[in-house]
Formats: sequence, structure tokens, C-alpha cells
Amino acid sequence: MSDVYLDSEKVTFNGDEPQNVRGVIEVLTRYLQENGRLVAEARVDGVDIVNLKEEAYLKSFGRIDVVSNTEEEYLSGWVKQVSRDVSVLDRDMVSFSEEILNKPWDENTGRGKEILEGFVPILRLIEGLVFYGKQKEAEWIDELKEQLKGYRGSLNLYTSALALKDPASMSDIVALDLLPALRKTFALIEGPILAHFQRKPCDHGAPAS
Amino acid sequence: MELLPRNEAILKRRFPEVLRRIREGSYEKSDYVWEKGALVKYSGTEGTRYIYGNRDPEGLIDRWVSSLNIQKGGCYACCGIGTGLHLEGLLKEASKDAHFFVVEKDLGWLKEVLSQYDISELLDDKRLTLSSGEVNEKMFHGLHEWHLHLLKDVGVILYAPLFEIGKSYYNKALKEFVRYLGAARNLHQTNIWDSGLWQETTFKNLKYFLKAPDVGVMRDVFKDLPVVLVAAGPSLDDSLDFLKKAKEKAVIVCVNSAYRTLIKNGIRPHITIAADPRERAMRGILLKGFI
Repeated sequence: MSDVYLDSEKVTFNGDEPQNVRGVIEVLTRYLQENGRLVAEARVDGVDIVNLKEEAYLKSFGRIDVVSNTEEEYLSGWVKQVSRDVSVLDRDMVSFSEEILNKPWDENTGRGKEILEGFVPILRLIEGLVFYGKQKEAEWIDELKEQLKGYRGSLNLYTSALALKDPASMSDIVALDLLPALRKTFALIEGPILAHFQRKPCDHGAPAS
Repeated sequence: MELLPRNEAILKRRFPEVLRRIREGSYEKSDYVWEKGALVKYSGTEGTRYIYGNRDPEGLIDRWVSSLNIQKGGCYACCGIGTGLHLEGLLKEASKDAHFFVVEKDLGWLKEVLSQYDISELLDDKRLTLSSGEVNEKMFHGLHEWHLHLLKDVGVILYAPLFEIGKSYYNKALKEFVRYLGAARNLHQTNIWDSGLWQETTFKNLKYFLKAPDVGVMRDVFKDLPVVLVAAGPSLDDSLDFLKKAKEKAVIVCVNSAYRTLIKNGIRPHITIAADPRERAMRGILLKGFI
């Protein structure tokens, strides 16, 4: 006997009940989307779905608990989660832009790669926000799109400088491009964008047709 | 390519060894390339890069300097002259009693800089000592201009864009710098700490000096005889058998620290040299039965 709970309420499926994890999530995602919501969290027999192995998606289950959010709640949570790591990345970038100049290259390559990896969750968040902003025709979308383009250009240069073992260029890219861009992005995200999410649901604008 | 007269005049006065190396050295064309706006590009096997970046060289140097920990009265080795921009930034921030030993790997590049850029103000800064070319003892002689016994810190200041270009050379030079400076500091300290004692001992022994014959009286006394100089190094014990055989055929000259070992082994040196005025240095000699 398998049970599915959505926001702590037991789900009754119309028609055939899905028999595996993937099926349940697909049905619930569709249902939530129609109601302007999305799956924020899911646990399969107590295990967070993000930790589940791929083959487990095709298996049967005892109980699935799904928590849903509005897109705005979900994105707000995502922003807060990424913002926590941004202050650490900001600090790391300041010290890296200096230390890349005063330490041998070999002592800094590992940190150089870490900085690059530090941008992965940020870019994912920006992409998520751009996707949302386009749908809602948000007033900040053009600025955010422009920033995303800027990051791609700067990170390409950064990767080239890393491959070329070029400390001066790396320091310049971090100090003059990436660091100001990161601060600008999070001023936008934590200002107008979060404010947008906190408005009443009816003020969020209509989805693009 | 002639050196700018102002640069040359200072080299002549302050760094004659560098000037000699530039004049006498044979070197290939440098891998550095000048660009508009005083930007300098390095084209090596790994590709091309700007040594001060190509956007805001002054800003880059400010960033570099602000990250350094330069102590008052410290002495630091710096790798590479570049165009002198990073050194100017460094000297601007450093205290008046800090010292910088700058070593440049590429004599050809140094010559080019000195021929194109008036860096006389930098070269004339008393806190800076310049060296270039082959790593050997001569390279470090300029360090003796400084009050080495007063140094509060010794270290290396690395400007990575230049260090990376000649890493193996600079590693060698830095290692030698630390070794040389350690020995030179000990020497300076000994000279200064013992100066009072030397003076005192000199006055105490003046009556003997006045009567003592000049060292010149020994001229030709040992003519055609081999001389063995004995110091108290780690191989002294291994050399005792040789010295026992040699003592009747050669002049044995030892330093005071080796004297006791020689006497214990039945080798009486013909001449003992003692320059250390401290009492403990003479203990080995003054012990009963050793004279």
C-alpha cells in the first residue's frame, strides 16, 4: 500500500495511481503548475529526493511526502540559500585577487577552481530568476539578463587566464569584473527582486502568453 | 642600445657589479615586448600575458601592495624588475628602514628597461639593492651596505606575474639570498657585539703587540714547505691520521678551535691563529697541559 501526501494532505489520484516515484512526481508537478505552484521538497520513505539514486525513481515506494510552494516562495527560499554562500565567496574573491599576485601560481590554482565552482549555484539561480522574470514580464528582467551575459563573458576570460597561468589577468578579472558584478547582482536580487516576490500574489503579473 | 645616462650613473655608483654584468654579459633577446601606454607583454612557451595586466596597472599594483605584510626594518628579496612599477608601489608603502633586494633574471630585459625608462629615482632609493645575472656570492655583496644586525624581519616578497616567468632561477636566487643573509647577519652581529671587547683586548695586549715581531719576519722561513690549514670542521677527526704523518713534513697552521683536538692527538701545530677575543674561545687552549 503506497501513500502520497501533498502539503500534509493525503492525495487521492483520479484514475490510475502512479506506481513509481517518477510517476508520482510528474503527476503532482503537472497538477501544481496548473495552480501556479511547484514542488519545493519531496521525501521518499523519509529520504530527500535529491539524495535518491536514479534507479530508485523507477521503483515502488511506501510513502511520498511532497511540500509545495508558490514560485515566489520557492525562488525566495533559493535566493536566501544562495545569498548565504555569496558573502563567503565575496570575501574569498577579495583575498584571491590579492593572493594570486603575491603567491606562487601552484598555491593558487586550487582556489582559482573553487572560485569558478562558487559561481555555478549563482548562475543557476540567475538563470532560474531570468526564466521566472520573462514569464512575469518583471521590471528587472532586462538588467538581470544583461548581467547574466556579462558573467558568461567574464567567466570565459577567467577560464582562459586560468589555463594560461596568468596571475595578473586573473586578479583583474576577479577584482574589476566578477566582484563588482556579484555585488551588483545581489543588490538587485536582495532589493527589487525579493521585493517583487513579497508582493501579493495578484500583483505578480500575468504569465506570458 | 645605450643605457640612459641617469640610470647608468647610478648603476656605476651603487651597483657596479650589475653594470659590469650588463656590459660584459651575453644574452639573447628578451621575451618581453613593450606596448603602447607602457604595458609590457611577456611571450613565453605557455602563451602571452601582461605582467601588470592590460587594464589598470596602477590599480593592480595597489591591490598587490595592500596585501603584503612589510615590517618596519624588514629586509625582503623581490623577484623581477618588470618596468619598476611594482617596486615603486612597494617603496611608496614601505617604511624608511625597510630594505629590498631586487633580483632580475633577464639581463637583456634589464638592459632594455635601463635604456628606455628613466628609473633613476627608483635605483637611487637607498632601500633598494639591485642584482641580476648568474646567482653567486658576488650578487649579494650589496647587502653589506645595510645594517644587517638591525633587521627585524627577513623574507621574500613575491610578485607572481614576474616570479612565474623565471621560477627556477628565482627559487635558486631566493634560497641563496636567505643563506647569504643568515651568514652575513651573523658576521655583522659578531663584529658589532664584539667590537668593545676587541678594543679592550687590543689595549690590554698593546704592550705585547709593541714588542712582538711583525708577521713579515716569517717571510721565506717556510719556503718550499707544504702548509696544512686545520679548522674545526666535521672532517677533523677523519684527518688526524693524515696530520700525524704530515706533522714532520709540513707546516701545520690551525685555528684556536682545532687546537685542543690536535694536542690531544699528539700533533702540536706550528702556528695557531686566534682572532676571537671572547674568553670561552680560549678555554681549549688555556687548559692545563695544553700549552
